[in-house]
Amino acid sequence: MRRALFFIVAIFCAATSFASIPRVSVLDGASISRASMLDAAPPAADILSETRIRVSDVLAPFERPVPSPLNRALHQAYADVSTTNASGWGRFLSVDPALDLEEALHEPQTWNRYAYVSNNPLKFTDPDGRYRTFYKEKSLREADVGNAPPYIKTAFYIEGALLLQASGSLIRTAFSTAQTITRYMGEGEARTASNTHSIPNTDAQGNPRPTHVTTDKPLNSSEAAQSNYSLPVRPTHAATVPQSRVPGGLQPAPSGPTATGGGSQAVTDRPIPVKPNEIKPLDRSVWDRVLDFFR
Amino acid sequence: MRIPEQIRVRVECENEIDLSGLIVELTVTAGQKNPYRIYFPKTDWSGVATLTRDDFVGQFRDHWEAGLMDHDGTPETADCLVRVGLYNPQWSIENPDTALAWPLLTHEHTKWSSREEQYLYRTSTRNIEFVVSSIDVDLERTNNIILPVKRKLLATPAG
Repeated sequence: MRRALFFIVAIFCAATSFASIPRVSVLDGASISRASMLDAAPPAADILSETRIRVSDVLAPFERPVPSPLNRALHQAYADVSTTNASGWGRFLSVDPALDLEEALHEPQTWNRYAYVSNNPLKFTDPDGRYRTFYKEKSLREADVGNAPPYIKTAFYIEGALLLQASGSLIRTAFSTAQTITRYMGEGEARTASNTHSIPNTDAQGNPRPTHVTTDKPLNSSEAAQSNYSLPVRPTHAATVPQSRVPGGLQPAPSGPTATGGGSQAVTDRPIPVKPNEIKPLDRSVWDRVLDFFR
Repeated sequence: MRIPEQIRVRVECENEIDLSGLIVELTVTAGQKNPYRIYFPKTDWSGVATLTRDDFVGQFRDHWEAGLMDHDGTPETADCLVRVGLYNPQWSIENPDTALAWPLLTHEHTKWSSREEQYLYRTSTRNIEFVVSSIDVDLERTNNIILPVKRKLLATPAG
């Protein structure tokens, strides 16, 4: 669960940071105020000459609901770093006169009324200079990526890869922890299980014993397994098998947590089939290795 | 539990002169999971066997190697009241392959050179010729145990 939460947070951070990459854009000369544009938008040619923006290179990747010169100029100033000259502030010099309070309550990014489309020009556009709107359907389509500047391409693909990784991890976590059991064992039992392909339900002298297993998420560390399950010594191996393979199913361990050590444990009276490759050695601390060396 | 330096057991059986080759088993409760089984060496002809403290502790620790998650507790925290009975070799006789799959455990190495040797030692016991009612003994009060057993009745053809 912690792992899933970590990935969700990572994805959120990654998406936020990538989406805001183009915010370095600057309006030329810091002379264009939004209010003045709304009042009397100058002809497109004037804006373009003032801001020295190459329209043809930038507009192709994006779909705009209203291809107005004002919109293009505003958006391009954010989307194409090559056209900016870094002389301005990256903000408008006057506040946005239009503010939807209902929307602003849920969108803290809109509280900054000097910012263009909430500092997210990959996702939004501002066709009339008043309110941000989504691009047609998606922020950036597969077909658009080919013509986009390199840093946008990189962000697009990295974001996609991270999303895939996170969703895969979530699915793995959800299924693996719910349906597997783990048995921590010492050297002797591990070797017997490898030879007989089953976790024995008797000890070396043939005395029957209820076999304890845990349904918790498998641990890789010998030290962590010992402390988590109150084991008398450190285990050397762990066998993780699907719960469905336990013959007859698992019974709850008798009488509460003190009877089972730590974690969530259950017992079975029958041998559990196990494949040799499911028995894996646990990570041991350096100190344990030193002690083993002198034994 | 304070383990005595030596624990001595004497098996008694009416009308039985030779009581050699019996293996006495102690069932020790420690922790909250499965009990520990500690074995005496085979008895001599008079039915006497002696278990040392080192042997007791060594066998105790071998349990962790044989099933780490199935045991908790230590010799020090073990209950001093132990159950005394006879070892039952039935499972080992019926499942030689599984029994022989076990490697020798750490303390067993000090007594036998191979699992086969240990297997033959255990399965050659005469325990199956006798029946016993287990008794409970407080090892902190006595280290001399007397275990009465009876010879199994042999089935005879009717008439």
